[in-house]
Amino acid sequence: MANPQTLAKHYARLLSLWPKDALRPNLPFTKTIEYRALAFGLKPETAAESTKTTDVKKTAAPYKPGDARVELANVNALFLLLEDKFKRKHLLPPEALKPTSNPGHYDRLMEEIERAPKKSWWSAKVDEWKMKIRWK
Amino acid sequence: MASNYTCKACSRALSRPTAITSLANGSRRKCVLPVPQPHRSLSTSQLQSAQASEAQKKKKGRTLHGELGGQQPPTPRARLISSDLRKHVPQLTETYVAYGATEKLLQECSRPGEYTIPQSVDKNGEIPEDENGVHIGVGKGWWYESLGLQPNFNNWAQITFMHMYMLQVRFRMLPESHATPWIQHMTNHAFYAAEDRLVVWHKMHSATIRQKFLKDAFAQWRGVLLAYDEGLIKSDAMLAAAVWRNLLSGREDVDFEKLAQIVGYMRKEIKRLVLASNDEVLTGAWKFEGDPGDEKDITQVMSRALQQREAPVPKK
Repeated sequence: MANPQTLAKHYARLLSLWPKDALRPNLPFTKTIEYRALAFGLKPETAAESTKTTDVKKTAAPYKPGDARVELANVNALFLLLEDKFKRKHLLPPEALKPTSNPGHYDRLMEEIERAPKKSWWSAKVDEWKMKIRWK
Repeated sequence: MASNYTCKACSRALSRPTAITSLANGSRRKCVLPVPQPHRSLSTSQLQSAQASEAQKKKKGRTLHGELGGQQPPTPRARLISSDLRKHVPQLTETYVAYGATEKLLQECSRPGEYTIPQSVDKNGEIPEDENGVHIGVGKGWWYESLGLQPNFNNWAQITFMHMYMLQVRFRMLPESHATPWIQHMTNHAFYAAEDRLVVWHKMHSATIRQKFLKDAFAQWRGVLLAYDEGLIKSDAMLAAAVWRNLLSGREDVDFEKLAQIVGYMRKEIKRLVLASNDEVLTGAWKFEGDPGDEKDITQVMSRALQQREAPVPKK
């Protein structure tokens, strides 16, 4: 179960399933998964981009796979995160998700995060200036 | 505002245990009613803070609400006045209660990441640096020993921010008039503690250099708030990515099992805080339980994906 081929398949599936982060295109978490997956023979998708933008940064030494059980434990941890195991185990009550001091806080925040990568340069500037003035 | 300048004599006095208590007692403000002045409270020294809180109790008798069993003022008349004030004009007194309680809460936030730099105690000691010129300290606990973080200022700040974030989620649940002072005072105390740490352990006597570090730390704090909020609402994967970017500085070699333990610890503590009553949290007596290593059992459970060999339903 923990031989290199199955581990490579697991890493490939993890890379395809991991959620994309539009707000941080230059710092994807999948970089860390690829770092390990390289040792099992997977071809990196983002390596070409990263060498273009960050030549000066030192990258870590190539990963050396250790004990098979340790590798499997790491893959398992990633799958647990993808399945929202901890979120489902510690579900927050509605009082926490709509806090008294500002019931719309998290909803507005999620809307802003959705909108932010799509803003043009000008509208981003205008919004920045709008935030500097206390309207209420 | 407190003075930005710390002369060499003061910083030597601050780092010597015997001198600290007398200095702190002398600098405590005497009167409660005017606008609270920020003061240098050395949250880094446990001995000093324990002795200072004793002295504070004797001196001012600033109170928490009588029902909560907090500190009581010395005379019955003062007790009557303070409890009357709190009952009838809560908006006047809340900020003072918040100021005192958040100081203790912040000490609890900074406890897991506590580190010292033994070389800075000596007169001519040279503080060890890594290849990027970052001061290296000595620290105990899961974060430094198991996770393998280097005991430096940045990591202390990130560990403290993580715990402050969890408290902030709880503070947001207070009514608006209360949430603002509590969040404000907690943040202020954090940066007072950060500046004290820079002066005492890192021997940064130049205020401009300290300001640079503090401004960086503040920018990181704002980033932490956004990222962890996004992760809290969206998914464990997003929260893990946020922890990776902030706490682990986005480095490539990551122990995913430990990362999952940190996510589990955060969610567990936030749930515990959310379910706690105001009395349990707002007296300043709140303690974070355990550390991410305790989540080991859960991370060793086989995930559904590996059990069934099917792709789990991806959640955004």
